[in-house]
Amino acid sequence: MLFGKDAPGENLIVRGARIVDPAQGVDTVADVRVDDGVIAALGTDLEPNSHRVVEADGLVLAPAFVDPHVHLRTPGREDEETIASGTAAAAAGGYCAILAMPNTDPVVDSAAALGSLVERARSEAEIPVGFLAAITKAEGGAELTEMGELADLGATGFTDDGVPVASPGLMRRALQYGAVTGRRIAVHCEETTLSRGGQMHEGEISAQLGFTGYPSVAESLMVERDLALAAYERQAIHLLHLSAWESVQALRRARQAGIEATGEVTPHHLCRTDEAVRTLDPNVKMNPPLRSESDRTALIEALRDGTVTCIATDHAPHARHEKEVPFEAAPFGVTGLETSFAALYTHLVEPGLVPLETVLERMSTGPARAYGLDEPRIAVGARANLVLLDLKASYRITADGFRSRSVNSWLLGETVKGRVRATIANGRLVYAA
Amino acid sequence: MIVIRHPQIGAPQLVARATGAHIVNAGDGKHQHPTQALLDLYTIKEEFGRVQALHVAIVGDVLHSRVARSLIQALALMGAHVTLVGPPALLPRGIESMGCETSTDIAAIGAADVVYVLRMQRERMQEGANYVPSLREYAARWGVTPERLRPGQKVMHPGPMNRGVEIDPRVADHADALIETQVRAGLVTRMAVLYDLLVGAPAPVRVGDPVEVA
Ligand SMILES: [Zn+2]
Ligand SMILES: [Zn+2]
Repeated sequence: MLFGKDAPGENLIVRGARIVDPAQGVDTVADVRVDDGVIAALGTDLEPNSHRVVEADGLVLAPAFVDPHVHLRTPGREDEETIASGTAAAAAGGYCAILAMPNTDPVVDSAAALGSLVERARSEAEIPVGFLAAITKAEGGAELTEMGELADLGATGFTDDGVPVASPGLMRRALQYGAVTGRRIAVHCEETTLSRGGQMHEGEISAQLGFTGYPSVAESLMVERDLALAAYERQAIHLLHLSAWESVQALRRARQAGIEATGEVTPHHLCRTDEAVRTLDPNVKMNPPLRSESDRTALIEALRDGTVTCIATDHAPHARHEKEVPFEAAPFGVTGLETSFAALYTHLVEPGLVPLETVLERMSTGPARAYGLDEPRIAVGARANLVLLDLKASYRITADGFRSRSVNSWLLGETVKGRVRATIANGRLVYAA
Repeated sequence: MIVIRHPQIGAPQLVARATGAHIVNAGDGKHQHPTQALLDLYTIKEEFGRVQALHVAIVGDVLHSRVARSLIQALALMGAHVTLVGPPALLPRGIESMGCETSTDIAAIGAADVVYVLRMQRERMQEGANYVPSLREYAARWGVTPERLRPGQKVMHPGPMNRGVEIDPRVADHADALIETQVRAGLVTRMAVLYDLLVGAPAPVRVGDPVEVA
């Protein structure tokens, strides 16, 4: 379930765009007319009536994006992000829906905590937002939350993201009980006895720099465990932010074996490697860490072949003063909502590593399907959830260009290609540039 | 000019980004200790007349050692042959990429011209990390003792020493130990660094790794 401002759909016409909807096999130049927020007509030379016109010659119109993994920092760290600023950032990134993680302060583990977020989303969310609730109380890994009640109140799914569910016994119970709610369980896979103290991927570069390593096996071991439990319980599971080739191999095997498992990868893991850590820039520090080139290649392959069906930003805002410290003292996490398409277009599509259609599909249909949300599509009768992209625009990412309250972007200073020109979310034009 | 010693990797680089002053890295976490490497090179050069083609064995806790990382880099640049010797968990995975070999067998020090003994950094051994079962067992297997050395092999140590752990007192006090020479070399090389930066700084020489500041 998604929550946002209750506002009427708009009357819009997007003229002359190349319409690309990979899930439906559409790639054609046409106008799109939106009546009261619903796609009413597709065709050439549509009458604008009195609709607001969005000129889109030379631009690509695609189903808007869905980000299944965002940290909105509310409640507790509203100085870093709020529902208003986070959803505004998402609108600027081309998103029509985002899912917020529950590792806030306090944790979203009760009806009261979820209820207050839903209320705030209804008054300030620029685009619809869904909330995952915690699997365990306070994400403490000891006691299940009241998942039934939380689901009834609209929790989109359950996760203890930020930390793993360390106990296999409790993870099994979560999968068993999660089935009752009909919502997906999502897991942050990290065996902390292997990753403890880890600052970056364990490999040649951590050896050279002297950082304590966070080995790939710390992730893949937990991936294997959770897939084994999901298989045993015959339950669906979603694997958050996969970073290692062993992890996507395990996911591939599990899917081939018929386990209902989905996985997500982030733009930063798809575009960067641990080489970036040589700069000692705290804005390339995140959990899981940037890994080796062979891991990156495996993630790209998994994205291409459909092993991984979701791209997630894991947008993790941090206050400026918390990142302006030595690498080792900095918290994990980078922002990503406003730069994801440009990053992927620049680093994957332009070099020919991944087709544009695949990126668009994994940013929209894939995540929506993983969580059972309405899939954005460009068809008559569908709610208008559209993103307008300029594939030729190149520009520099700077700290003053964000709608997010935080600027800890891994792309600061980089010149990228591919710009979001407009976003229509839930039938309303929420962003235009 | 600012001289910085800091427990966290990257602190000097952070400061360097914020100021135009010369920054001397006097040791940042487990990362680098560049002036130690300079004084060690100076010591070796004084003793052998060259660094090129010498074989240096570095023994002990490489994982936690900023001294080792700077020294491996410096020796590789100068054309020396480097072998790291120590317990498996204290030889970081991937360290061979710095241009050295590794061995877990203390006998590997036998072929070296110089045996460089690292301090066993007890304060960096995390609680329950079990890098080695005990210091006692470490000393028995990897301690540098007279029995494990050939006559004429030179022994170095960055200090302060844990006598009886990584280095036998008879080795530390033997005429083949260059440890006191290192201390004297430390004074002159650091004076030289300060002098160059303050007075007649020569054009900076880029030596590989771009994150290096001093
Ligand atoms: Zn996570
Ligand atoms: Zn996260």
